[in-house]
Amino acid sequence: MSRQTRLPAAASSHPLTTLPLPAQLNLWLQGSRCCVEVGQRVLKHQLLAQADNEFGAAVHAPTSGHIRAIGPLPQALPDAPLRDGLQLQPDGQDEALPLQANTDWPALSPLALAIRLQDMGVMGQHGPLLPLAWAAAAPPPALLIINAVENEPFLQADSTLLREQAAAVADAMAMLGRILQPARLVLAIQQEQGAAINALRSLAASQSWQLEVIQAPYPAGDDAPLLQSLARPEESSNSLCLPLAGVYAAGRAILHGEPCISRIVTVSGAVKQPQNILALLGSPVADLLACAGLPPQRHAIVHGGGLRGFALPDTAIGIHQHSHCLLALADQAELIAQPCVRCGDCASICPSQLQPQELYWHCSQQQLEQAQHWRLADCSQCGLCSAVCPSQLPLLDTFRQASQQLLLAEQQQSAADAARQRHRFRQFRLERDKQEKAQRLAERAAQQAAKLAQQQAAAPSSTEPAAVVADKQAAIAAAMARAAERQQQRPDTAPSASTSERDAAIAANRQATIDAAMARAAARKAAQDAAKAAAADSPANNSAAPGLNQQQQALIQAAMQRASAQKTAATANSPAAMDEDKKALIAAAMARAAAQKAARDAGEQEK
Amino acid sequence: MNFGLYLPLLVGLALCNHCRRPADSQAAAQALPAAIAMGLATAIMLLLGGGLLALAGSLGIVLPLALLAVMLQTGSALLLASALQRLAAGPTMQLGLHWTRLLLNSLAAGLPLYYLPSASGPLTSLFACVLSTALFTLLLAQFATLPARLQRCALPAWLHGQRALLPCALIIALALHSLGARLS
Amino acid sequence: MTLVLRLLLLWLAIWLLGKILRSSALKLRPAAASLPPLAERIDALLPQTQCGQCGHAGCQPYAQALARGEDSINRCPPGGEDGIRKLAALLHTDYLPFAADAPPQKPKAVALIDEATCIGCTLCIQACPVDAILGSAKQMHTVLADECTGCELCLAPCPVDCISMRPATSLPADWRWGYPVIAIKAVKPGTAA
Repeated sequence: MSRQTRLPAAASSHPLTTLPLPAQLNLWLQGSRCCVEVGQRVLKHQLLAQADNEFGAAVHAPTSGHIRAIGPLPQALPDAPLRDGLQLQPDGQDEALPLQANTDWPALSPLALAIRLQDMGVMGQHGPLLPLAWAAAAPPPALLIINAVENEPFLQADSTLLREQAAAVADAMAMLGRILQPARLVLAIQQEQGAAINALRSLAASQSWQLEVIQAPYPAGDDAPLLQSLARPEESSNSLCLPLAGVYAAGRAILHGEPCISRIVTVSGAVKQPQNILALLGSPVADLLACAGLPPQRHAIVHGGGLRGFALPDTAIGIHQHSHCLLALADQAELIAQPCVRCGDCASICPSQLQPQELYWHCSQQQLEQAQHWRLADCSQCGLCSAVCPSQLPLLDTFRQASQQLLLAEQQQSAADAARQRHRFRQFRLERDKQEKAQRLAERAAQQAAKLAQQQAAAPSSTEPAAVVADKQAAIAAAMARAAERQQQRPDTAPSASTSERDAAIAANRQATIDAAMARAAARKAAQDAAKAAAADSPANNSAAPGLNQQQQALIQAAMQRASAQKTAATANSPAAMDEDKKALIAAAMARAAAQKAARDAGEQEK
Repeated sequence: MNFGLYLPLLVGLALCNHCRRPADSQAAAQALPAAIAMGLATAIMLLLGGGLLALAGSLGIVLPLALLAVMLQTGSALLLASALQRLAAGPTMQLGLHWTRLLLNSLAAGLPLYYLPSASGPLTSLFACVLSTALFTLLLAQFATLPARLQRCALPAWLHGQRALLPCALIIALALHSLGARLS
Repeated sequence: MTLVLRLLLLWLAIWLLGKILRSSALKLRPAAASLPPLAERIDALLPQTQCGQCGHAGCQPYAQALARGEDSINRCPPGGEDGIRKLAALLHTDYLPFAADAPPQKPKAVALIDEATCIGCTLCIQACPVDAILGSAKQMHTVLADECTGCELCLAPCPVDCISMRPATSLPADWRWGYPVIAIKAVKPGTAA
């Protein structure tokens, strides 16, 4: 507990003051798209930026003034990157747009509520207060926890809010309970927040929510341990934890139509008067520190609580919705990490019963598998190990970075699995398409062959045009038979057809052509006879007609018999012939594909 | 022979055992089980040798103690090696229980035990045997895990690798020497 | 009495040694039959970009070549050095640095089609190994950014060069903690205000 005891002890409760209007506001556009222009005058509550994706939220003007700049600005984030931001210069008039309180809020669906909160710029832990995907999909939550626990050192913003605005918080919770319909609504608070508990006890009795007083030490106030300790087994899968500041802002937004433009920030540490300050979003950190009275010597400015906070590089940075605490710590420039001395303090204080010294070694060596073996995933990133380490090792920062890398590796693995599946399906699809094409071609050929056989069967009974058609069909059939024969003979790789089968097929085809020719001749002769007889008999007498007719009928019958015999022969031969056809076609397609591929490979090699 | 010499000898033996292990990744993962297995094997050999000595004494075999001790320790080492080879050849190979190492350990750790004046009675010699093998196992385990721990120390460059083990062995040997001197 | 104690200790030592040998034997062959074939295990380590930079027609053929021992493990730039280390550990070989003539490693990017220039030729659709491009003949095409592996195979066939590689989008979920360098930085009050 070395470093913790060195810190000045936090006073029981600091007063709440309001920050005077700063000279400049630096707003953070988190996942939002600007809808104003540089130089434009905006009024208080006016929409400055619209949510751009489901993790963003709208930004409203905290006061009236002119837009000075839009673009990348330093933000109060751990690695202090430049993020999209907006500079607003207040004109001091604080001219506001009229607030439009919506009276239709009881009819809102959870999704509509989530969208409205996003439009009002109310933020939760990650993105909008109510995650849109959750609001769109989830059934009414079994357990809704409002997290007002502050057991990290120095934090007082939530208890101040409860003390000052207990009735408004109760209204906001009633509103959330009405719309989201949770089976159980719980306000979690810590034993040490005495004044806030007193303010709530009288309210909780008449409301539909419960007050849960947490007594466990520090990390028990985080969302995950809180859910674990408060949720009953059947509720644990379907519960939601919301931060108190966000709930209060949601109440203001929905019940009064006021967008989220300010928040309470605890300013503590080595300042003259530690206090809670109600500040507009975007107020520079320097203004808040000046309000609390910062002594002139050098200080490290820490954003966040005493254990998990991170140092800010610059005091011009504006506060945002997650800035619950600002600490000025005595200059510790000489703090340089020393090697681990294996004192074991980190292991004895770790609330997850891990071995941080082992974890630190593996994480700093980037041995993530070993870190996983030492259960990095169980680290709640509470920062206690960093606080007690006598060698000032950056344990918390290392674990944060390593667990994020693990998460990234998992994401990459799942993306790779998805890509593998898509690639295999594509290969399967291409193969299937090829096979289907070959099958279609084979079927078409078989249909043609069948049609041909039918027409041959029908040919003798018809007169000359039919005979001509039969002639043509026979020629086509003969050509096809020849082509098939040639194809079978040409590629030596022709699949598995034995020579005797092939000969039989060829013989059958030839027989069919001969039979067709004979049928054609018979039909032509019958037709000529009939014509001659008609020409001879029609002027003289019609008595000979029956005789001729009989002769004709006999001829036709003979032809039909031949045709039927031929048809039976054809049907006997046709399956084999069809198979032959198909095989030949597939072989040809494969040969073509191989030739194409070879040509392509050659082309690539040339390239 | 006394404990003041015998315990540092065990340190040297353990270091020698560690340095003769093959240096591949598979061996590094199995270092600790191998060390414990070697310690147990040494315990078996020493207990076997002492038991056979008592048996020989009761049978009335009269031989010089040096010859008898060498014969008994060699015999127990070869017996254990052949038994291990017959029963579990694969894991024996994996854990590095080669017969030459067994023989070396049996002789180097076992022979001085016969000449310890403070372990003259049967019960005291048994305890000396058990305690020394327990210490030997601990030393082997120590040397098996030392490289991984030395990696995390900010040592000067000329001490990297196996060279850092020598000063460690020296420190342990000195400490055990003073302990053993007090015991005997 | 001493003999009994000695025998008891001997039996204990033998029993313990047997335990250790048995556990080592179990570790020696970790149910070899239940493991998938080697090519599958190698394929599971590859990044599945299907980019063909290794000279094979995708990750699976490369994995099969590695399993047959016909190729070296340092031919996969998307997998990075980390991938080479994993492959070396799986195949029991030494780590190899990237070949000097290997294509350089690039950060993850996704393809983006310039919709004004696209003529709808479908050539990129045929080239995409994971079916991440949507469109049909003479219609504008577009890339499914979530499915794109960044293999750049669609760049070459495009006749109008309308495809470009863009770095993956930055969502709050993509934000990373930096590697810790300095724990606390000191700031003079009012310097920047």
